[in-house]
This record gives sequence, C-alpha cells and structure tokens, in this order.
Amino acid sequence: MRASIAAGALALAAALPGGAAADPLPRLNVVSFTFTADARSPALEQPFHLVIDVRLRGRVADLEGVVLPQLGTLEILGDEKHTLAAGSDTDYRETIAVVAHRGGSMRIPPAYLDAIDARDGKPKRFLSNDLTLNVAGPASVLAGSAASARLWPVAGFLIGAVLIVGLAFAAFGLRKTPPPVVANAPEPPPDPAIVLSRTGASPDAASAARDRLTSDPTREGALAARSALWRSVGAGDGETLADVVRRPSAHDPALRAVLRAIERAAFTDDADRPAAIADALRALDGYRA
Amino acid sequence: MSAPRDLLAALGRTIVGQHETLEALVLAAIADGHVLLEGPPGLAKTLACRALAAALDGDFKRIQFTPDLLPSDVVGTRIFDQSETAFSTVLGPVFANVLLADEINRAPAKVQSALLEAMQERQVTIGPQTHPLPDPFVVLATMNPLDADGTYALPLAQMDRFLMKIVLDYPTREEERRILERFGAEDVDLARGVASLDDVRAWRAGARDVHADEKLKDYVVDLVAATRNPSPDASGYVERGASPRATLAILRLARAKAYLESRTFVLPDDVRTVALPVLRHRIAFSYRVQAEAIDPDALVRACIATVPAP
Repeated sequence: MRASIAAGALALAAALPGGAAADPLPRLNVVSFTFTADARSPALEQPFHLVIDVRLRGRVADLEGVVLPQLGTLEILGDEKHTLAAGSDTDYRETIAVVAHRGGSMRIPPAYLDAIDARDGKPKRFLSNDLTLNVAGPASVLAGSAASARLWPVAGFLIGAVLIVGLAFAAFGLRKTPPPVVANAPEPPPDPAIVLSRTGASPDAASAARDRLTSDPTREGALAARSALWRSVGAGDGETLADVVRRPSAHDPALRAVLRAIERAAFTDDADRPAAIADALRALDGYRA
Repeated sequence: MSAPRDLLAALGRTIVGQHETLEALVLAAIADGHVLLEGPPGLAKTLACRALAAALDGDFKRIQFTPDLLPSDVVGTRIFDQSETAFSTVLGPVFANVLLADEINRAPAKVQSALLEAMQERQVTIGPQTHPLPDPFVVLATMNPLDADGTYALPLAQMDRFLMKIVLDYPTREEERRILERFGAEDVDLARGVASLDDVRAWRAGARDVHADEKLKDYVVDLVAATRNPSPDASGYVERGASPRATLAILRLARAKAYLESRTFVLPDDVRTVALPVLRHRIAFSYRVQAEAIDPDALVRACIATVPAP
C-alpha cells in the first residue's frame, strides 16, 4: 500500500504546477474545506479577516500545505494558524488579516490543499470555495500606503486631464440643452461590503424537486427529489446528509431545512410519509420564496 | 417519562467533554448492550459510569480486575452455613444495573469468560441454581492501552460480545480548563434519578419500533461485507472481517441513535456514525498493522468509506 501511495504522491507532485517532488503528500480524510470572510461591511483601509476552515477526519497533529490563493490588491497584515482536536476529528483554521486599498468587486480563487485522499488512497487536490468581494468605495484610493503615495503625481495629472475634458464637454452641453433639475436626489444605496459567492441549490433544482414530489408522493419520488437537490449543491452519490450540510453551498438555513425534510420523506415509514412529504413541500416553497 | 436526551444532558453536566463516550453510554442503555472503553488512566471513565448509574437510579458495582481474581469473585459463590447446616448462595458484584469492569484485560481468561458469559446469557448459574441478572444490565468495561505488561488480551470472540468500543482521548485545552473549574475545589455532585429503570425499559421498546428502510438494511450489510472483502490497499492488513453479530449491532445502535434524537426512522447518518464503534473491535488485523504502526481505526474508516451511503 505504501508503495502505491508513494507512487501516487510522486505522480501528483509531477502533475501539479510547482509541486515539490521530494515532499511526500500527507494522507488526509478531508471532510470540509471552506473559505469565508468575517466582516459584512469592511470599509477601505479597515482590516478584516479571511478565514480558511478545514475539517479532517481523525487526529492530525499539524496541517501544512494549505495554499492561499492570490489575494489580488488586498494587503496581507497577518496570518494565524490553529489546529484543534474536535472529538475524533481535527479542525484547522487559518485566519488572514487583510486590508483593502481599492474598492470594487474582486474574485478570490479557491485555496487548495494537495494530499492523498485517505478514503481511496489517491493523490488529489482539494479545493475550497472561491470568494467574491465587493468592497465599498472608489475603485482607487491613493492614500494610506507608501506605495500609493508614490502614485500621487501621476494620479493628479490624470484627474486634472479628466476634469478639463469633462468641463469642456459640460460647457458644450450647456449651450445645447438646459440641465435637468434634480432636487434632493436620493443617494444610491451603499454597495454591500462583501458579497459571498452565491450558494445553495439552483431555483431550477428546487422547482424540479417540488414537481417530482408533487407528481410522485412516494418513497421513490422522495429519493429522486433528494438526489436532484443533492446534485445541485455539488454532493455526489454515496454521501450522507451530514456531508451535504457541511458543504459551503448548503449553508443557507432554508436550504438545510429542505434537505432535512426531504431526508425524512425518503426514509420514514409509509404511515408517516404523506405528512413528511407535505412538510418537504412547505420547506421547498419557503426556500423558493 | 424522561427522555434519553435528559439522561445525556445530566451526564454532560457532570463530565466535561467526552461527548462520544457519554452518548455511547446512553445508546448502550437504549440498545441493551455493553460498552468497552479504551483510554489512558484519568479520563473520567469511572466517573462517567458512576454518573450513569446515579442518573438511572440503579445499582452500581465496580470490579477491579487483577491477575489473582477468581470467577467466584465476579459471579458469586456458595458457602456452607453452619447454623442452617446447608449451603447458601452469595451473589457476586455482577448483580447490578450498571457494572464497571475496570481494566478487564488484567484478569485471566477464566474470569473474563465468567463475566462475558453473564453478559451474553443475562443470567448466572451458581451450583444448582440459576439467577437472572437485573434488568437493565449494562456492563462498561475499561482497558488501558498503555500498560501492556501483565495483561491478558481479550480474544476476538469475547470482544464481539461488546456492542461497541469507544476510544477515549485526552481533552482539549479548553475542556481541561473547565475540568479544573468543575473539579478543582470539591467532589462533584452526581445528578440522581434523572430517569428510572422503567424509563430505560420503555426506551428499549421504543427503539425496537424505529423504522429502518430497506436501503439502510442493505447499507448495513454492505458495510460489514466491506470488512470481509477490504479494498486492495487494506487487504494486507485485515485477517478476518466482522461477524453477523456486527450487522445486528449496527442496526440496533442506529435505531437507538434515531430514538435518542427523537426520530421514528433511521437515517444513513445514524448507520455511518455507529459503524466505527461497532466494527473497530470486531476485525482481526494482521501483524503488519502493528509492525508498520498503522492506525487500525483508519483502516476501519477506509472500509466504511468504500461503501456509498444510500
């Protein structure tokens, strides 16, 4: 077994970009791997945290090899790692303190971890979810760091040029049409500071599950609806509900309620099934609403 | 009638952490089985057992297994009463609702057999008389994995009598801090009378009625079959897989788990959760596991992982 593991590890190391062929891959049973941000409304120049959580089955003394993605224009202020035993499992948490110097939307690709999957002995790259940030504020703020301070002359020139061109167009326009009168124009709502990637089952999958349950209110119909919903959140055959609700794509409480209700409808006894299916349909309606 | 959750909560108020152990004790009471606890000294194994007995309002007895222990020290004996000029029977400590068999692997095989026979038959024969054991009767046996000198390993056939085996580990830093606060000053008061023995009998009846879908029964059979036909990676490490008693034990415990969670039906998660503690002591591993310092639990988990849940 060890020979096959070593061969697999070498194969993966050769296949992965920048892989260190000399380092053997750890053998891990990765239960979940999530990437989140802790602040709902971070302002420019205000530090906030990105958090990587990995749950591993079994006890692992230390987890190395979690690779951070490129954080774009975010400046890293600090990085802290903890490995804690959680019952018979192990929780790894890496907290990265960052600050945004530029507003607007940015997508941070997933973090990843290369390891031998303890479940099947094969080398794999485990990926977290990606993260979409939408930091409120102008697209460029030229204060607050030494690097940005060096850009002041260039920025001043560009802003001046834009202002001159803008004034020229405005003067031309004023001669043609009177300016619209706008009194007390409402301010646009502030951008959400951080928008996590959309999670959850697609509306199509929820509708399909509802249709299936309505047309076939039996055990088989419940199993089919369950299967369709699980596929839509990225869960594969052979997982259990506990695996599915740990997925970042199933963190929505309304979706979890649906998944639990459909689980009951699929596995309860025949006497309870009509009530279980009715509950599942109500949960689906609540989720779709 | 109390709910099993009340019992679990009462145990949790006494013992810090060790959730898996406490849940195993409650599941054993619901499923009418016995538990083997393996862990280093000082992890509150005895306290957990005492807490269970106190919360159930039942009799608690403890036997410290030693190399010079005799079967009669466990089950009882007959002595000659000179005043009556007849033999009378003295029942041993096995006659209790909750029995703690401490360091069961320190007694020789004939003492272990005496206890394990009582566990299986739920009665003891002393001389010409047969005495039924109290109902409920839960044996919680402990083994210390660190000191192997002077121990008598339990044969696989005897390990099979335990419904599940729980492996205890040291508490986390936070839990140890709470242990200091809870036990540092004085002895802790055990919660008493949380549930009655009649309640336990009612739970057992309720758990037997929990519905298990046909797909889940297939899943249980496939899980046990996977230990007999392990994947090529694991096959060199497994000599013999689990017995049909394991199949029965998984379903019984899965039903108990569903009942504990106030459900009338078993879920795939119930089956998968109880599979490891049911299977880990029922598989015979080859010498390579020890020689190569392989974690046997990792092999059992690998077997479980090869079987897709329904």
